[in-house]
Parts: sequence; structure tokens; C-alpha cells
Amino acid sequence: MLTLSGLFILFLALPLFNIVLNTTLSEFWRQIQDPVVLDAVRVSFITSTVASIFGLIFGVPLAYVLARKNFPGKIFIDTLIDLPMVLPPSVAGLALWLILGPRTLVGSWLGAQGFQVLFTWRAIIVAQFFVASPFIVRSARAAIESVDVNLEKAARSLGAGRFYALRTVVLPMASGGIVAGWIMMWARAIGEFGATLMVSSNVPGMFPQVLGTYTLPTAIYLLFLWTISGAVACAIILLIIAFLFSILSKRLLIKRRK
Amino acid sequence: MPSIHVDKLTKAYNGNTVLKDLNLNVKSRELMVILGPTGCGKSTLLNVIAGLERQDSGNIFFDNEIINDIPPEKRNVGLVFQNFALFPHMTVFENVAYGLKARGKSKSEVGQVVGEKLSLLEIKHLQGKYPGEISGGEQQRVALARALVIEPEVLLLDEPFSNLDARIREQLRIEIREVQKKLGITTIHVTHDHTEAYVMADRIAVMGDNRIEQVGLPDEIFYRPESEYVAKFVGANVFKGAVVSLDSKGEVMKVNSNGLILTALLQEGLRVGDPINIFIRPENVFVILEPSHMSVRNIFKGSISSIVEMRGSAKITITLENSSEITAEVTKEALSELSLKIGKSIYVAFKATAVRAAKTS
Repeated sequence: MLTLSGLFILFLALPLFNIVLNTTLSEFWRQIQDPVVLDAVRVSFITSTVASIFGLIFGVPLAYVLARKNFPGKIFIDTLIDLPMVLPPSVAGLALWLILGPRTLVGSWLGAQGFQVLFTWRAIIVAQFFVASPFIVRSARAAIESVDVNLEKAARSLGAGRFYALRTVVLPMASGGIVAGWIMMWARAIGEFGATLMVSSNVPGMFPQVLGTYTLPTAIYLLFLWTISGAVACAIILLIIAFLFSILSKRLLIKRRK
Repeated sequence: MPSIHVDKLTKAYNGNTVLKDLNLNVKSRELMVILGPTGCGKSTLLNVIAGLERQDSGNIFFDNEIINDIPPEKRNVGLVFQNFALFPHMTVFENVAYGLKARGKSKSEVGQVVGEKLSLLEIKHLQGKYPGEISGGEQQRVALARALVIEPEVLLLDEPFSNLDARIREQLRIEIREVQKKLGITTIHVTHDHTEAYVMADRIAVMGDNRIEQVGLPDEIFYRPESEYVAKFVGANVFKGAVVSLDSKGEVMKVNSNGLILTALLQEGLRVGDPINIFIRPENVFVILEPSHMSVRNIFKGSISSIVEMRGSAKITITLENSSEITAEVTKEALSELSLKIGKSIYVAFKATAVRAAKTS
């Protein structure tokens, strides 16, 4: 039992630590000051933050509806929301490409409004939102479900309107799970690769003047074809982010259970 | 304070009927207890009256006004739940103040009114604590104070004592009854506890599946049930039978129940041959060793088939000669003085006035 567990942990840990061994501190420092890498960091932070804010705006209301209401077709919507989590990101990328392309109905309409999406940083946000939003819906839904429905009823009977009750009772009590979901969505968004690669034009940027369409994950893939140490630097940044955020969201969920 | 009038209320969840053409009238300032088994739809009825759920059909009136379309926050209904439903992230003070803040009252008014209600329920010393830090009895006082702070015209209590210890429960019953009388709030109190219903109610409505079976004063419900359902629910002995003869003076009648001829108090409107149910409360059934010295009209031989001892009394089930069973409630003293044991042959005796009859529908 112990041996198997040990082997399993080693299998997970070794490749990850090995990334760090493939560089030196000075090389890492030099690489992350590279304008291309810096721009990828910038693009990644901006896009995943925007995508996860959209996740909050649209995901929490949906989570509330799913947690509190019963309606025909609920199971269908439930499945639909989980789909992006189990779908290969390349399918998501293809799906978005087919709808946002210049000759498609949606794409051409958006283009006519002067709002090109495909092959811009906007497409990155769309791809990240598409792939990562289930995290916030799931987490927020579980958090809202755990708030006793009688508390909401009590608030309503005491004179609170629907939104006042939501703001003063449901959201404060579910906030741990909602924030945890937001963080998980952010982390998933910043790690998004497949769909992003397909819908953005993958133009390297130059920090600070030129905003490109490399994100950290796509930068790893494209840099690794010509300079491995740049890819390693990007990978280490993502590794640190993933590590910190996993810990953070776990702590939030533990706090919520108390 | 308004009277409440519920008219032909129907509500179903996913095809399961919970309330069916339910009618109920509660007078102004009255405390009406709805007594019924778990799952008969009592809580749903309260939710609909509070506006938290919408009925499928039927109307609810406060006085003469239909309130179907008034949202819960505008109905001015106080609600108290079985699980207290206090806001765990707020202090006792904040919980009680909630309804006033939701109405946008000024800080000084909130402080004053909350203070009054905290004093009324003797929980002022708890105002800085969180619900998780106080006992169940204290939590229910807070819940009541929170409901009263909005000065509701109608108070709805959903099994408010069932999560509390017996001692606290008995104390709170009396206190809530006093507060309700003092403030004169029209109140509907839902419970499955017979003692609670008897002690607290102005009137009791017994609820069966989906509907109200009987409404009456506590004594009427417990001593003069009108249907087999209510009689069984309040623990009376129920026999099916038919009227054999009516006394010429019009006071008593003879009833045949499975070969047993009983003498019962005459009920108006019954004729010879009518099929009836008869009800006898266990505490009106006496257990005696010899039939000779009793002046009562109903004396039957039987043998004891089971004894259930309770605090202060015992329930004895006797199998009669026609193999019907009857339950008698006797004191612990009687149990030992008569040395009652399972299998022992004894007589049961009950007065004609203790036998109630109701025509079967």
C-alpha cells in the first residue's frame, strides 16, 4: 500500500520538480524579463481575470437558479454546463472557430459592428470563459444549495425582497464557495491551451509596447519549438500559480465548512 | 389583526397532491393549532399563507382582502421554523433587527424596537452572541423575537418546539401562548404533538391527507371526534357498528358492533339500521375484576393482550369475547392493585355517555 502510494506521488512530483531542475535562477530571471514572456504573462492575467469576472456575473445567477428552482429540462442544462469540462479543448476551439469565423452568422455580425473576435485577444477570453465557467457554476451551486432554504424564507417573511435576501443572507453565506469557484475558474482559464491555440492568432507580443496573443500555455508550446528555456520559465510561472491557487481554494472550502 | 380565510386551496408538487380543496377559517386574534401527522401538508399550507409558495388554485384572504398576489415581504406575516432558521452569520441583535433594516428603519428606531422585543422574550443578555453559541431554547426565543419585531398581523409557527428538550418545550408553550394573547396576533401553529395542541389552542384543526378533517375546541376534538380518522389520530377506540334500537325517552341507543351490544348516548339524526362509527376514549374505559358493583351500562368480559407502561399511567389493550380490541388507560396504582398481567381475565366498563357515535359517510 505504502509503496504504491509512494510510487504514485513520485510519478506526479518528479516531472514537475524536474522542470525546475532544467533551469537556473539567473536563467529564469533573465527569461522572465524577456518582452515576449512578459507579454504572455500580461495577456494571461488580463484575459483570465476578465473571463472569470464574466464567470461571476453570469455563473452565479445560473448557479442560484440551478440550486433553488426545479423546471423541466433542468437535467439537460446541468449536463450542458458540465460538457466543457469533459470535452477535449480542441473540440471547444473548433466549435468557437466555427461560430466566430468571419463568414459565419455571428462572426460576420460582430465584424460589422467593428468588433472582431476571432484571432484577437477577445477570442482568448471567449475560449477561456467557454472552457472554465463550469467551475464557478458548480462550486457556487453547491455553496448556495448548502444555505438552508428556510433562511431565505425567513428573510422574505421579514420584509426582504428577493434581491435583498440574496444580498444579505444567501451570498454572504455562500461567499466561500463562490470565491473558491472563482479562483478555480481563474486557474483553469489561465491554464487554457487547446481552444486558445485554435482561436487566437498566436502573435508574440513585446512588453510593454505590443500586446500579443500569446498566453503562458500557448507561449510554452510555441517557444519550446525554438528556445526551451523560455518555455521552462513560462511553465514555472504556471506551476507556481497552480500550486498557490490549489492551496487557496482548499483553504476557502475548509473555512466554509466550519 | 385580520382573520384568515383559506378557500379551496390546492397545491401539488410534480403531480403529488399536497393540499386538496382545503378550507380553513381562523378568527381574528385566535390561536389555531393545525394538528396532523408528519407529511400531511401542514408546512406547505403555512408556506402558501406566508406567500413563499404559490398555490395551484384557491384563494387566501386576510379579512376580506384576497392576498394571492401579494409577495411575502409585503404580507406582514411572522414565521417561526422548526429548525429556528436564524442567520448564522449575524449576531442575535442583527437577527432580530433584520426585518427593520429590510424596511429601511432608522438606526435609533431599530435599536429601540429590537431592545423591546429582546426584553419581552428575556434574551437581552444574548444580543452580542451568534446563534451557534446559544442553546436551542434560546435560539427559538430569538427566532420569535425576530418574527415579532416587524409587528406582524399574522404569526405562523411551524413545529416550533419539536427540536427542543421536554422541559424547555413545556415552558415555551406557556410563554408563547402568553405573548400571543398579549399582542393579540392571529396565529396558526402547526404541530403533531397532541399535548401541545391541547394546551395551546383556542381551536384545533385536525389535518389528514391534503385536507382539514375537523375543526373544533380542544375538548371537541379529543372527546367528540366526528370521523374515524380524527378519532384514531387522537387515540380513541373506534368500533364499527349499526344502530339496533333507540330508547323511547330518546337518551340512549343500542348499537351492535360485531356481536357486541353497546349502549351509547343518542345522537340526533340517527335511525335504526344506520351504519355508524363509535368512539371511546381510553381514559373513559375502566378495568374491573368483578362486574357486580358497577352501575355503568357497558360491561364486557375480556383478557389483557398487552400492557404499555408510561409515566404515571399505563395503556392496556384488552381482547373482548367477540375478539375486538379495546384500549384502556389506567393509573399505575390500579395496575399494581388489580395485579393486571397479560392474559389475565378482567372486565371493561364504560358509561353510555362516554360512547360517541358518528354516522359513517
